[in-house]
Amino acid sequence: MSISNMNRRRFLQSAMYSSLLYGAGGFPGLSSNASAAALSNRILVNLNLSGGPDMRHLLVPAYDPAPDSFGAKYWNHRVRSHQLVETGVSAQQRYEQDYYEFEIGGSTWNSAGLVDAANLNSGIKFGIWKEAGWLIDMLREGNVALICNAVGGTNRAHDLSSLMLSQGNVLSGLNNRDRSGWGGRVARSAGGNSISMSSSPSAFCFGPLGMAPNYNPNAIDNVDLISVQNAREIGLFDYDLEQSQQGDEDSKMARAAKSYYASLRQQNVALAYQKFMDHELKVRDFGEKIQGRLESVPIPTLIEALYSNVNGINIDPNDAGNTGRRVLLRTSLGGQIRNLYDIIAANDLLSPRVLSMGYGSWDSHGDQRQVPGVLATDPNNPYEYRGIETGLRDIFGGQYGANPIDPTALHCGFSALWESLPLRLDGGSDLSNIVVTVAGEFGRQIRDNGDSGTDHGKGNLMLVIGEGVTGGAYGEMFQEAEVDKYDDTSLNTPDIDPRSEIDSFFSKVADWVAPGSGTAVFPRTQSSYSGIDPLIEQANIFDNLMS
Amino acid sequence: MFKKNSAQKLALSILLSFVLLTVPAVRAQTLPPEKLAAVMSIINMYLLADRKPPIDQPSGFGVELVLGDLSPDTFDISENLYAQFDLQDQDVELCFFISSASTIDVGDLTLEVNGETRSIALGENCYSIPRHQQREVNYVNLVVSNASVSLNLTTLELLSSNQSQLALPRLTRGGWDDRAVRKVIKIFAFGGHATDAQIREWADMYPQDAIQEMLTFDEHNLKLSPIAASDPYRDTETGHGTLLAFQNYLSDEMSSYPVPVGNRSQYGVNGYNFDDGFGRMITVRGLNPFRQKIGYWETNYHLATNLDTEVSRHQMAVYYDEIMAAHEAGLPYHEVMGVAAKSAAVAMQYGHRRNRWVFDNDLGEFACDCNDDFAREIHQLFYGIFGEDDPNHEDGTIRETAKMLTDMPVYYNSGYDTFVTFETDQHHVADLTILGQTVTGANASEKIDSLMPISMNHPESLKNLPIMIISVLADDNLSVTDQQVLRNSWASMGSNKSLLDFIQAYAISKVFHSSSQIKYLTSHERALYMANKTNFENIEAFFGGASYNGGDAGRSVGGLISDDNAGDFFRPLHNVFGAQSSFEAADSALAFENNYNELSDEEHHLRTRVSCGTCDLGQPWFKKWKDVLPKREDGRFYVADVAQWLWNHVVGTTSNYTDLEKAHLYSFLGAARNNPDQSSDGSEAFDFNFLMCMAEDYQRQESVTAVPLSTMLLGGNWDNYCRRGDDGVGGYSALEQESINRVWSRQSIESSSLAQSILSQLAETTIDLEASNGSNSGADVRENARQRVSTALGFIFTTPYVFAEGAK
Repeated sequence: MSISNMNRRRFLQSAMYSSLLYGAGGFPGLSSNASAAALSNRILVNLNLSGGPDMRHLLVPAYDPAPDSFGAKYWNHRVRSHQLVETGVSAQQRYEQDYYEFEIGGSTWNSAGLVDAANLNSGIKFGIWKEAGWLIDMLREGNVALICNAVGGTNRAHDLSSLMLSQGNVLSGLNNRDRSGWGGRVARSAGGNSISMSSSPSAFCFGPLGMAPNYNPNAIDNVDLISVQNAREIGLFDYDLEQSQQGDEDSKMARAAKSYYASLRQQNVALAYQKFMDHELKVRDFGEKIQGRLESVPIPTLIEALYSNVNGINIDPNDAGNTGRRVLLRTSLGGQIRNLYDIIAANDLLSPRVLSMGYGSWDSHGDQRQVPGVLATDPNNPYEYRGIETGLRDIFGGQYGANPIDPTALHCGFSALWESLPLRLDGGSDLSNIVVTVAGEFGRQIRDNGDSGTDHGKGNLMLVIGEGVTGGAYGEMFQEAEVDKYDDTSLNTPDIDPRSEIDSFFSKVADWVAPGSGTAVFPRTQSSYSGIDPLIEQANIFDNLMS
Repeated sequence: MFKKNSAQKLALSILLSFVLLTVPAVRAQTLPPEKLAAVMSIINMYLLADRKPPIDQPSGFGVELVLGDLSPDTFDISENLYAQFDLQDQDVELCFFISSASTIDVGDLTLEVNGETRSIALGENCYSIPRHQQREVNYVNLVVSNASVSLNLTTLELLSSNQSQLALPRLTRGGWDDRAVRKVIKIFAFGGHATDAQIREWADMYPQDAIQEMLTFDEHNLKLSPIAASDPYRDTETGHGTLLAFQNYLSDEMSSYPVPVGNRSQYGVNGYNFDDGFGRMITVRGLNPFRQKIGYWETNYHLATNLDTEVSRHQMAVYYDEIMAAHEAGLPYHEVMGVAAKSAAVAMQYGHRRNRWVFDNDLGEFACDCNDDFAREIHQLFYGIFGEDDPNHEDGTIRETAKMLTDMPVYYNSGYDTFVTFETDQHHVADLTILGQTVTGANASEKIDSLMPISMNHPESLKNLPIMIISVLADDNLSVTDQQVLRNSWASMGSNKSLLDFIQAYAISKVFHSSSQIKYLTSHERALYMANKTNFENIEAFFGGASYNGGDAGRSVGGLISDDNAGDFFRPLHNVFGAQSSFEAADSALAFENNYNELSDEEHHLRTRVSCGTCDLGQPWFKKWKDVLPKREDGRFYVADVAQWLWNHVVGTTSNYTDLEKAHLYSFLGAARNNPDQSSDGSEAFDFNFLMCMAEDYQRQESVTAVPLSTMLLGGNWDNYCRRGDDGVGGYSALEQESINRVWSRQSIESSSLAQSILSQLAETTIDLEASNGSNSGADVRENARQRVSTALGFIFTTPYVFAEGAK
């Protein structure tokens, strides 16, 4: 059923009744306003790459023929995961054709104002997969921080490491599922709301118990959380007194249910059922407000094209009659991007401060890269699965800025959002208030396996993206010690040595979104913390991560 | 052992104690230590306990009880009867079953425990008598006030309140009741299909006996899932009990069920609706919804594989059936997991079907050409072994396990096989060290067999696996203490653990039936529960809300799950980490929103699926509400009875059934224009808010206080009350709006004389499910009545109580 089918007047009236009779205080910080507004507060958008993404496939060392070099070792041990034999190209060809090269300290690097925090990578050359055009362009504009040797989950088990990453606490165990998420703590610190847009409500968004800054991070209170899977349809059906009620069966049921929930709210309801009491209030309240706003906010064409066919976008070169195809393979990401756009459009009503997104299927034990034959003539084919390159393209594909590396690239996930937001009637100030964090629960081993994939590892690359970010490299990009690991057969499962736990750098992001909140969001960064300090590759390396 | 009372025993005991206490020399010199300890125990019992003298011995026939004995006698009660027992050193429970050929009235019978009045009713009665309330001699006295009643009392028994099964504290006979039975069925059998009579029968049995009938791994459990005698579709009573067989049955043109032949290709291992077919397997009667619950949990959570990977439908069906066949055969749980670990589905899912132990020319030695995906997850997901405190887990156990899983291809023969071929040419034949122990075997199959008991008895497995089982199946709120109790129970089974024994013991335990237990239903569980509470015949389950032959029937399952983005059956949301979790469902605003909107904006999905003209293979079909709802002796269905039945049917208890719930249900059931001769609008029952608006308007317009419902609803002016535009305003008047929008709380209903009057009238209104008068020989009235019952059911489905199970 679609709420969008409902009569507009019906929504306005139900909104009036709900505020009159049921109270409008269920979701903190919601207000009523008929006109759109610019994004006035800073927001954190977290993209969770569940499954353990091999970011060493996205960002690789430059090919180097010198046998003992990192570049040689890497490519020698990644022949299978890059499908070099099957595609008939050499490692050098693969690197040169498919990766865009950066040199730390080179002209592109310096002109973008990129930093090499702690000077650990002077002269290093690396490549970023070319189809991740938006990410490359953002880096070239100085808007991407590459957090190297990062760790959010210390265990190679998916569920435990995911828990650690979501909670921002590598000390959490499987029996600590009742702890808040670090995103929920940021939202509480910022005095706004936490909105989960992934298919399931993200533990990252779960709020702490109590008020900032003295909340209890080891308990959950989701008073300021709502999960939104389609901002344009969310809402509860309601009755309309401008129509006769005598024979309207659906109105009778809606009225009975609404009245019943309202009356239950006046008495004690057992713990098991309280979540559903909350949903009834929040969905009704949230739906009424955002629907009213979005009636005047069309879906931008580039965002719509992410998940549905739009004339003129991504025309099939092999089909003369085709007028356009969707851009993404995973349309669910397109839906999340649209929700993000919509919530920003109604940010003055909804007070979002933290939003979570998800993109899965990174557990690439086998066939990490797949190269369907159709790509030769149809490189933007949105239907053929390409291994993890599907996700890398969906998320990072596209272009950014006045001088993109590929001005013909289709706008994929974030690219479409970044292109669309400044076109809103209320101006282009939104982008500067957004920071995006991208992380998976763990990294993968540095050697590929016998199944053309990679197995679970520990350290990984994480990304912080936004105009408020001091772009550059944070940590040693390719650890010297790894060179020896590649050929050491006594090591069964060599991986990237983790050197910085997320507390050390995401606390800076928290501070940027909600000034002064970093130590509350990540209690291990408090000077008074008496336990083991979070790992940090070099003291103060992240001090200037955000500007 | 049961005898007339002899009052001297207590006095003798006291005398003996006195002697021993006052003549210490005699005691010390004449009693050996063990006897001395026994004597001291008696002394302590009398001296240290809070002893209370007995009340006066009741009159009538007396029976003396000893702890643990069950009387084989049937007592015909025509005079007062009392039972007596001595002070016990523990809490006890006294139980009996009472029956009567005739009805009894309140006041005909009273029961007193040591002089204090307790409630009594026909059926099972149990009285908890804690140690601190016991007297030196205790009397439980049944007083018959009406000499004309004829009663039988059976199964008189004095039991300990502290019982256990598999080291879990077991419910006593008194704690095991209708509510407990319904809770077990709700959580472990998607609500099941048991009749009220069967539920009562189970509730009257010992829990340890009842659970043996309720939860079995047989393909059919006709007590849990009976087919009504009048139901023509009963092939599932005797066959088609495996997933593969059931899918084949659904897709077979020759099968006898009411979905048209042309629509059957969607099912079966080649059908796109394989997953919906599984939903029907749980809602169709004649099979075993508990078996499906465990099969679903094993293949979608614990040992999950995924049709969205390389696993085929045929492989999935075989996987499911092999696991459940192993359970049905009573194999120890580690052997069941061995079956799963050796399956084609798992080999396809994780890709180790390609793992080989081969000579690497670059290295100059044999190497594992492998991935280590399942090598990790066979420990972690199957057993909960993460390698805590084991420095060799990552580099040792997991890599060695990868070597174990070599040379086990799944061959392609016009489609991948549904079995693994275990070969040796490229298998690491030599022994391996896994989890610190030697694993042997000539091929992967033998090595898996060697590993499984090691895994089952690994300390991490003993710690985590029982929690993994119960936390997903039944309790989202396990305390640390609960967890330890579960671990102790699990460990008590020794090396050969039985999942069925564990679940049965847990299902009748005080851990499961405690007030702290909470289970949030996943979208799948909720959709299936609602379907099982809606459907009564197999045509409804087979249709599952779809329309065939010109009509629709039954409650949809797959559509609801899909709308919630919860992931289809066998396509778990988190791949091998399992389908939508309880918490994900509970925290999903979308799931709540969908349920609410589907039941309000699309309320006709429930209301109108009560009949069809031709859907039953060209014949009409009518929903058989009349066969399940309670009738009074006059043969009629009363709103009060039906409303309470519906609430208990869905919610599983009436402990939270108050005037608030009654107000909404009574209105939907009874506040209709039930004029047999003018039945066109008889289905349109009014909701309580609108009904009260009408009643208040009636008072104003007619200048009266009393509101006779029949006059208001059936009179010629019925649509003048609470009507738009008739009070000098364009729409509803301000008074009418206030009335329609009012929040009626339980307290405001209880304190409103008008509301109470309305409820009283509605309670005694009848629902004409068997009407024969009026238009169309009563058919229209019957149809309206069915629709109103389904509407009331829909209202219950909108409440918070369909989303979870826990203390109300």
